[in-house]
Amino acid sequence: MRERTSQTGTEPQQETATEAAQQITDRLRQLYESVQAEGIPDKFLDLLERLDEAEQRSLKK
Amino acid sequence: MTGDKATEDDIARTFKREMLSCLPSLRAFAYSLSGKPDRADDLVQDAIMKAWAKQNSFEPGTNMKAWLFTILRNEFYSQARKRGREIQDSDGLFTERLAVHPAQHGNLDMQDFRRALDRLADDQREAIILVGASGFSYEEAAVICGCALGTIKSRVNRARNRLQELLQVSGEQDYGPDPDTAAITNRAFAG
Repeated sequence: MRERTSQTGTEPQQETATEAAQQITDRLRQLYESVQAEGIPDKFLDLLERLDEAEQRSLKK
Repeated sequence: MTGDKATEDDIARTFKREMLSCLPSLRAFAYSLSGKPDRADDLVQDAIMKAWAKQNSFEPGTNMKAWLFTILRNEFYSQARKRGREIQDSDGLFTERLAVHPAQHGNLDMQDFRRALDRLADDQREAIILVGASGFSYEEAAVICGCALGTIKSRVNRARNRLQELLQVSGEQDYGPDPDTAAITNRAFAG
């Protein structure tokens, strides 16, 4: 078991509440960043290329 | 008129470059918002096409990321409205939403979190993602969601509380023994 006694002088209850909120935020970030780290899948790059080409063609007309 | 043309090209190139740089986070937003990977990628694709079609309405120099996120979340809600009765958390649907993104496989902790996140009301989930993970300020999140600052703050708080409740993160129970055992142990130590 982890040592739960407060060494900083804050109320243990308050400290626990802040810690719990921090855990939630950490997990949310972890989930978010795991997707973000994948970068841009090729299908989206292809889509942008196609949109770009279509626009170029319509401008030349 | 060649000068104007060159400027237009510059603007178009800048637009595309900025949009590309925002895509990884836009995609992360979509995945966090929608528990279904397929639907999340569809959302990103729809948002890209919408954004492209209305690129003239984007003011160069303003926040591209916020602009794209606004388009994506509006798309998310309009698709949800179209599906209508399919949305809110009936338990059957819930199981279906358990599909976990490959990057999150093998991490039980993360699967639990994903499930809990999916059980939040859409507006609360959106608020906590924007502020807690996407790096927007409360003010920016309020603009993206088209609501008052106080509303965003209260949604984030409610989302956080609900997640803690669902995950029973109280600080002690998730690392130590289960509550019953903990009570016995504590008594033993106290005695």
